[in-house]
Amino acid sequence: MQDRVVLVTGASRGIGKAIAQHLGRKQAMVVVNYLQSADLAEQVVQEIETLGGHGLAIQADVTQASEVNRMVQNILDNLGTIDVVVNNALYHYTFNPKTRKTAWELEWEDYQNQIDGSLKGTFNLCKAVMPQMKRQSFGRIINLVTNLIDFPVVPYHDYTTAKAAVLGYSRNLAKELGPFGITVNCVAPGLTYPTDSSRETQEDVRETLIRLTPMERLALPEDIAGAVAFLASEEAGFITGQCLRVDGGLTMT
Amino acid sequence: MESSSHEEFDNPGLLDGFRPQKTGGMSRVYGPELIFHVFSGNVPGLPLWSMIMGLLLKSGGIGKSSSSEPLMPVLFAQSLAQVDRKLADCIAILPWKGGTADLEEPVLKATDAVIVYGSSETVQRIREQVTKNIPVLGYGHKVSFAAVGREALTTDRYQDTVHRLAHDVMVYDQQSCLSPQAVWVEEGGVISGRQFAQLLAAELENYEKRRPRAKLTDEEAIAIRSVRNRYEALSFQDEDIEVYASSKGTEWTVIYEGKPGFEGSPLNRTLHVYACRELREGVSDLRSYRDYLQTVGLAVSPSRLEGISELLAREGVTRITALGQMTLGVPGWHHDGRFNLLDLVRFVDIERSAEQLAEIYDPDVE
Repeated sequence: MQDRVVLVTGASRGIGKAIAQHLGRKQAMVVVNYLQSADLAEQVVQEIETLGGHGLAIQADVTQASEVNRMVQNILDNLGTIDVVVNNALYHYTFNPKTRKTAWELEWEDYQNQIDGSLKGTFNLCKAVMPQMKRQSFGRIINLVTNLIDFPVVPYHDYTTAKAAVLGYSRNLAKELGPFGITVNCVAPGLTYPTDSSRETQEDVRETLIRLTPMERLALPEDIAGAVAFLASEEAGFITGQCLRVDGGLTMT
Repeated sequence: MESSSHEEFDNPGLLDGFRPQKTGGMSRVYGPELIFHVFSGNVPGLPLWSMIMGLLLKSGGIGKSSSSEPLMPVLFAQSLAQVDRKLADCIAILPWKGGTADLEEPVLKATDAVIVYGSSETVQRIREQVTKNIPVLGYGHKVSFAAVGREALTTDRYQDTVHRLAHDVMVYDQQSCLSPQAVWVEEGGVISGRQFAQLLAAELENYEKRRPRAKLTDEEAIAIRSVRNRYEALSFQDEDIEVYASSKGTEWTVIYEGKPGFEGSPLNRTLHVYACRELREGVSDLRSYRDYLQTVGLAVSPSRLEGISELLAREGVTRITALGQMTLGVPGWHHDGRFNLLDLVRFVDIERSAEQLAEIYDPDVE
């Protein structure tokens, strides 16, 4: 990953942060995108630099095309290229099995928010980086979805619907961008604990999941980062349109 | 709490006033005026048991907190103060270095009972300093273990069984007297004793990721390395011995032996696994641990439960419980085979004769 320019959205916390740090450790130039947590994003950059990598924090709301375009232009102006994009940002979501909205309580607005966060954010990024990736006949787009698409053990309707759309979007993109040397893949984490989003999934639910999981534990952010790093690497150059489930074997498709 | 009093007193009301006895006359129970509690630091929450017992008996309490866990007793007392100031004022929690004579001597002179948790040395030291004829309840070093029958190792149960044991080893880093230090595993299930040890090792590695073990003192770490070294050396000559250990440090250790046996462990997630053809084979190895045996976590079928329990009870075991729940104390239990409350109190009887005599002094009686 030496000298590759990698953009990770929503990288100030949780899975995004672990991805940024992992790629930083592999000597990539990591752009840590954030929405509000400027201090946390700077900390991630610091941590990457202590690990021997290079980092840069850039603020942008991925749901706003203008901000995304500004951010990508900034990267191209300063770093000259953009090689890998990891679409991790989403409209904030709390995985709480006790307080989630049921199918009959949800309004379209709930779905729209998630679709804007996950799908529109991913769309804005991909559209913005496509020209450069085509120019260099190289690109890696990695979109974070969820294993809840295959197995909605807890039905987080709005969140999972939006992520399923991202999966369909990614496959179509993979088909059309393949000829340009650009691969588009998804990573589907299982419940990843502890993170801000998953903090409210209590121990009884976690234990139930663990007992259903062949590897008998839940994902750590670092597990997800490993899969993303693989898809961003040379070794994954002929893999596209795939969805890698990282959940200890809970789902197998 | 109610269960505790009901378990030990026919009528918990005995604590509040004179109650009629079946044989005539009346009795009342008096707790000590002051109890001196010495708390240990390895299991948070344990001091709460004895503090509550003291309050149930209407005793005041001075608690010497442990330097390694000074918080829980204080938090309990403060919470109590928020609910009932008067009750909370009956307790004082104080920190001081164990063995500080100018503090311990006056307390031991003034107290009416002592409850001490700690190492066997601590318990012995306190016992020796008590010159009065007062109850001294000492809870020192204990050894607990698990026993797994082949019926718990069917294809649909074996993973759960290993999971239960791993949980019991992990809780409190195995520091509780209730935690298993060894396990007997019967051959003949779908997994062998060796595979059981391997699965347990994988589970402990998972637990290290989810709930990392505490940082140890040099002494504690050396104890683990020393037992690892001893068994690794043995394993070179004996293919029925194998040591599974965490790769980085001393985070967890599983020592497998393909024959019955028993040995305590240096704790901190270190476990001996003994394979046997029948669980009873290991019983003779318990002899030298007789004074220390406490809990056994069992995973056997209903038809074997009593039989095995009897075998173990004869060897000194005082508590048989479910594998997976070894560290869950229950109210009203017989701690180390003794009473919690009865050992602290004195019964006072008003005999029937006193009542009958009193009658003749009633001016209305003719």
